[in-house]
Amino acid sequence: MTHSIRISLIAMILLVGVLLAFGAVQAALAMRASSDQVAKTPIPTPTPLPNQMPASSPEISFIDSPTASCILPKRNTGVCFMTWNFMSAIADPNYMVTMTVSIDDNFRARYSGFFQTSMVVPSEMMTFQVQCGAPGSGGDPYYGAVHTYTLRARDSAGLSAANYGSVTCPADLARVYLPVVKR
Amino acid sequence: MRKIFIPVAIGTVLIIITFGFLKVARGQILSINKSEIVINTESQGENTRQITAPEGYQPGAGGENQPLISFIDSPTVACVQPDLSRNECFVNWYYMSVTADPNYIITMTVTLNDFGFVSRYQGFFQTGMYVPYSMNPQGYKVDCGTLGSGGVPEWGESYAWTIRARDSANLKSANYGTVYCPAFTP
Repeated sequence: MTHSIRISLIAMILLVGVLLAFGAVQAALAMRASSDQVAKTPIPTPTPLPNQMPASSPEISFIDSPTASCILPKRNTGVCFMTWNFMSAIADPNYMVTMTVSIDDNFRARYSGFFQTSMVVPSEMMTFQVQCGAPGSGGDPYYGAVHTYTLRARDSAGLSAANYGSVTCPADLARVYLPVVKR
Repeated sequence: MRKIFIPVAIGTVLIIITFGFLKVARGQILSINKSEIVINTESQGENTRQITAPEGYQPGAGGENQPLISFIDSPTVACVQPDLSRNECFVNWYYMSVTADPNYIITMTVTLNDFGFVSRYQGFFQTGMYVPYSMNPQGYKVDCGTLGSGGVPEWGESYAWTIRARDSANLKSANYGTVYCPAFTP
């Protein structure tokens, strides 16, 4: 080993030693207790909490779907429209994958999420044509048919929420008026 | 020692130069064709969104304030069958929104891949664009299709769609997805 290399090694060792000593001094200063402090007792292990879900556990919310409606816009057509004020659900922090609407066990709409943790569907995007039905056809003599509906939402964690309900429509039947032809 | 040090030093410098040319970074800049590079891309299920720029664009070269077109915000893709007795469904979005500040938005287009362009929205001295569902209240009319025709047993036809936006710096943003429609059962 040459003389210059030996000197370099010795310098390196001295430098490392100085750094270690400096670090040790800093650690000692940090750990030093003040003169008026009582000697600290060890911190006891906290009692474990009873089994419960952690506060931040992600869950899909209930679907908010107020004001389920059946509307007869034009009499004597037999055509009614079902709609809601809006439909919304939250799945934060998961993504909302789909929300679906089925009426009388027929799927009528599918709303797909796009990188969204919640979904809102306004009334104009969920209006469906249904039969009004004859008076009494739903059991109430003053109203028409009853239509059942199911709203479902599913998130990217596989959780789903569902609302079930029914809507009673105004009674109305299609009437075709033949022209009166005079001879 | 000198015999080892010089080759190690040269090798280190060569590796640094190589990585510099490859530009291997967390942003993962990928070349998709000769004129465009993908700056950012995200995928979730069948949904994908991307931001692309002309080749030669240097993200971050202008510092943290380097302007970028945003991802297009296009939540709640809907396919609705208003009338059970008709093979007519309507596709729509709750809204579409994109920003390009301080650049101007030039265009935003909607494509239903089976049919081509179905909408084109043009900017007018605007750095952001917002298109609510009410600008096309009924949506785009499509065939509902028969059960399983879109590949999902309980649903009808499926339609792939693309939304693109371009700004005055020629940066582009695109969203890709698929919408499934209720089946028509006569």
